Amino acid sequence: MIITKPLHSLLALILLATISSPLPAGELPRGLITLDNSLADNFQISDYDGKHYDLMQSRGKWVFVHFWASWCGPCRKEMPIVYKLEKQLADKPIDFVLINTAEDEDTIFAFLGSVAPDLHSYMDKDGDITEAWSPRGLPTTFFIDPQGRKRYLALGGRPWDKEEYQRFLQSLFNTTQ
Amino acid sequence: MLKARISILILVITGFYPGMMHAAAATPDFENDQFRLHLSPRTPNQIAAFYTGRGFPPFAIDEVRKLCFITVGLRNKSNDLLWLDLSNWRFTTSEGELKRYLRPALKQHWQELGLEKRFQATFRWTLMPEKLDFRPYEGEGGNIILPRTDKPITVTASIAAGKDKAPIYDVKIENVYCAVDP
Repeated sequence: MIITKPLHSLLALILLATISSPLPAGELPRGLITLDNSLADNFQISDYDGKHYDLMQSRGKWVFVHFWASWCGPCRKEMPIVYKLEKQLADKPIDFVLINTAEDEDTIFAFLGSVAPDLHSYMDKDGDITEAWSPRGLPTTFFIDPQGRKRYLALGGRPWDKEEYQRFLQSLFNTTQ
Repeated sequence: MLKARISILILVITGFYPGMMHAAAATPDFENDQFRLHLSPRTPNQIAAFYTGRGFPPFAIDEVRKLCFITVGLRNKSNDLLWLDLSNWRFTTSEGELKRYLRPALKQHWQELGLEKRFQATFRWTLMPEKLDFRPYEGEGGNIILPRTDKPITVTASIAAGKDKAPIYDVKIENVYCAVDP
């Protein structure tokens, strides 16, 4: 079979698109939007035990970057689902990075203790990282791909345990990155 | 290009005289096929309780008590874009336009008062975004801050729907009051 060069290029593009996009935009679950693939701003952050994290250390894995605050109602509702999700995906190449926006240790500790005791969050003490990443509201989740690019954004709290969201999450790991 | 403008007038009917407005003050709603808009004037006690609960220091609580907070909720009900631009919103009383407090002025004020950065960040997150392209079914909420007045306020909110920002809905809501403590 002879494939002309333009057609060959087209097929290559389609193949590339298939490889680099887990799900086409039209098949994304409600509330998820595709981002522009730009490189995510790096950040370093600590938790209330002084444990440090650098976004760079997650290269090669997906990263679930989740901005939240205890005073935000949808955050309260979503957090137990995020907790279950983290446990469910423990053996998958994805890091969960929860970032609390500008609250103190006691508030974070008390809040997580009541909704998801084993969930771990970092503290954006002055709100600077949140400001730089400009989530559209709280909560907001960014999906960073293994190359460190911003790929998807989840608006507000999402029912991650529902089928369409589970399908989306699994699709992240079914593609060659 | 001529863009369609649709004007909607909402009169908020209340059973109170202005001086009697409480936490239960009317909370105007507008809803059509494209979006739902909700305004909730907050009493000083409500606002003080919220920020006290977030650990704000007393001097900051004294400041927020002086202001008129209206919590705005806007939800895109459509499968298309919806455009918020607060610079297209107007707040007027019989005495003229009420100038909304803008983020740069609020930031400067907090800095001059020496409010910790973390509290400034929390405060910013409780404000309504200045501009936002609402994605299908997206909802956002936040506060708009005005100088406190006991006069009825007319809110004129221009909201554009669709990828081409048309039509534009001019929603006019009359008889909105700054809520006062009982």
